[in-house]
Amino acid sequence: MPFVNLESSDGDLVKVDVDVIKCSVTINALIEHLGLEDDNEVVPLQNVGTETLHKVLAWAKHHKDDLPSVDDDEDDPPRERRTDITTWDANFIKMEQIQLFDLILAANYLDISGLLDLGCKIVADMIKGKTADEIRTMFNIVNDLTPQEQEQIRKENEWCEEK
Amino acid sequence: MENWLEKMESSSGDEEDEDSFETLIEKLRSSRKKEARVSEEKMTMLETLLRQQKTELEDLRKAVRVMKAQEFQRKAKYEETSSAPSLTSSESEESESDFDDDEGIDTAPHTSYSYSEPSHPLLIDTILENIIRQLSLKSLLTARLVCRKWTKFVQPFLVAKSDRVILEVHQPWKVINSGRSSGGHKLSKFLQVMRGGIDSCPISKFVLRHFDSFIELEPFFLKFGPIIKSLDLNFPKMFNENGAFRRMLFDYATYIENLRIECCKIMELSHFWEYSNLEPGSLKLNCLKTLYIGNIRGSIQLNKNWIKDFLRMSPNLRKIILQVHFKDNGHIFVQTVLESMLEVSNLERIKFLFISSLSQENLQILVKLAEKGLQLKTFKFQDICLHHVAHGVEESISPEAMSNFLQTQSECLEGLKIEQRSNRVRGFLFPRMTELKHLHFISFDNLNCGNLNYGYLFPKLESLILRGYNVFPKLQYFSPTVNTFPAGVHVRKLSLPSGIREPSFPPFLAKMFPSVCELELRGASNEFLQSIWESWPRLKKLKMVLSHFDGCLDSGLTGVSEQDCFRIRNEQNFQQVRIDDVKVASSIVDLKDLRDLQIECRSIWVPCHIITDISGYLAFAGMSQLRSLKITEIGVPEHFDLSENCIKYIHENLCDAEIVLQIMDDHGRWRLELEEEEAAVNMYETEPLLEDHNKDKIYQFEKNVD
Repeated sequence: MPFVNLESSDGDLVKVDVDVIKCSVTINALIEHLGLEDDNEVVPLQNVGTETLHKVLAWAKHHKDDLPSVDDDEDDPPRERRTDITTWDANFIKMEQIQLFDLILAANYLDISGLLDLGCKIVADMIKGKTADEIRTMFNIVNDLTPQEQEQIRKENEWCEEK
Repeated sequence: MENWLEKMESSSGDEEDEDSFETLIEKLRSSRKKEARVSEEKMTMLETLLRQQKTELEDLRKAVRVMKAQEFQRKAKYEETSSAPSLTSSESEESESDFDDDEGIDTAPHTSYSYSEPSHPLLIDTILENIIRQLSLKSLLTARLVCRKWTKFVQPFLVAKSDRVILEVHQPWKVINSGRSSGGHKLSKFLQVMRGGIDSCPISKFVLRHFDSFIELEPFFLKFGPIIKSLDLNFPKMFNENGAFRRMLFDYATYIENLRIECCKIMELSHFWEYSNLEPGSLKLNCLKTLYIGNIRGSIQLNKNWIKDFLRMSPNLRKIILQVHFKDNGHIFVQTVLESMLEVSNLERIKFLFISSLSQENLQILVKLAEKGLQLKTFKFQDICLHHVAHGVEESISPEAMSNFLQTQSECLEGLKIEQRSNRVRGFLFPRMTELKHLHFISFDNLNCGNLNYGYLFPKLESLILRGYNVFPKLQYFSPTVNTFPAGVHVRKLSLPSGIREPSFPPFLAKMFPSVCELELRGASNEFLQSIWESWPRLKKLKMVLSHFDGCLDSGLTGVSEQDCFRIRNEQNFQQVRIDDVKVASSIVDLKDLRDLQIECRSIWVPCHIITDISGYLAFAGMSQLRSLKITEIGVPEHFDLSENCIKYIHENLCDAEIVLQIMDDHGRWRLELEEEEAAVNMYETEPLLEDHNKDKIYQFEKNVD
């Protein structure tokens, strides 16, 4: 079975089964371009730290044999595509915010849609039920809206929910 | 633009200015069109340019990546041959830093995050978009207020998700008194709030009701026409401005996707193009996907030419929904539409047909339509509104007509849904339907379609929904003789009709449909439930509709014997009971994959007592894997069957789940409308009438979000 060596931004080398990491579009493309004659190929990943890389690989390994999801009945009223988080994923994703963000960044950089979806779903869950202020504080986002703009948005929002 | 609007509004009541007003509008319209055309051309140019640049950029990125990797490889090999035989981490670090110097592309190493603008993960386009896609409407509205970038990114998702805005005339009599536009408070208020125009308007679905004249609506269309995706028109009978109706669609709402018409007068006109010098077919509604003609009560004379014109000008129409409630000539209305389809080309585009009234002639025309190329994906016949009781007996349709129609669609139909109270469709035999994925029957009588061999007839079946009380004989619908096991390997969603509760049946069913992960039950017994848990241990989603006819189901849910349930209930020391000490059979807690549990307890006047604190403490509170728990008690006036303490305990233990426990009062409607013996049937199979009730009657215990 072919292997590839990934190098984290911390400089550590990790040998990975190509089959496991094929979920990453970025790495797949790289491998295709490089060809893989030799087990000593090294793929540098300058945006992914060692700790995060191991996390990514753990996820990839567990989801190696996942089948692509099936489309639902398209004629039913458009439901939210709520793919459930499995117990394994739920346990896997329990981590500090900074690690979670690292993982999301890595999933984005490596273009692993399943992992990116999972991470983003967790963030979406964190947003649920919070006020805008709480969201900004929680994620350290700067508010660049003027009070007038906010007032206007609030007024518009009133129309969006059926009364 | 603003001035124009003001002028229009101020002059709209003025009779003398009528002519000049018309010309004004005409001018405005033509200039607007020109503008639109020019800007559209610009847009397409820009778009192609952008696309080119994007692909170029992508190629460049790829090239850089490859070069980097190759250079690194070369270096590594060089070092390998010249000095060190193996790569150590320090060396690789060195070569990497060399890299950064050479290329100068990547930013600082990510050891510590400051999350400044460009690298904050929640401000990166792809990530932000992915998060926003998963937000509910409520969260989207809050997210708009976070920062500018979020406001911008939320916009398209909000437009898609926001509810319909109902703009209606509340006080039509005001027109007469004040002489001002009857546009109603709501419409003018809307225009006032959304003064930012279409760029910031978060709504794309509109319901327009009771407007007598298009003049009142013109300012609205003028401003928001291009963002309208869905339009629901409910105009009074006197609204007969065909020209205005045309303008509304072609001049303004050109990107409309869903159109629902409930005004009937216009459709009686002999041509859609009447009183215009436009060529039929010269204008198109290219985005229109769904045409819904619905809720028309009282007969109307639909004109064939009108509907034909309409079908011709919507080349991408996919769904046609005809929901007519009048009794006498409903099928004639449907027939008019079907006949006009016969004279229209490009029938392949129509994939979904929903009709609420069906006759033998209708089916014969449908066969002709199939010869002309109609290949449906979904066909739905529904002559019931689940709330209403049947009105009379109608002629039944010959089984051959139905079989012939199904034969014509047997290689394309993916969904067949028959929901009938009249029992008009029955006795037909299924052809082999190779693509069918969804088979839904809701019926009040046996359909009698022979013994169903799922593996042969519907090799791709994914969902099977049978609803009806004692109308699906097991030997026909779950025949052990014609089926080989497993019969439906792909069936994931199964809804069992009420009246089935023998404990020996679930194991048999599970052999027949081994992949079921979504199950719906109507009525149960303790032994039946235990048998369900054992037969499909991997259920993900479960809905149970129970009634007081089922008795108390604590034992079935918890796996504790009925005697012990009785004892524990009397002792009231639920929290001291260890489930493992008392459990003697499988329980719902054993469904380790269950994410979504919904229980509806229905009763007539008497308290439900179907689930009590025993289930609360020993079953629900232990299901930490749940994402959603919803228990509704319908028909009970006073309080929930689970005690306050128990509800609190469940909330504490299921912190990850969304929990909704509610009581709904249906004011005994089941009882009032029905004969005693029909009660059981209707308890399980009908949907309770609740929507017109005072909201105060809904008691809700919701988890506080802190």
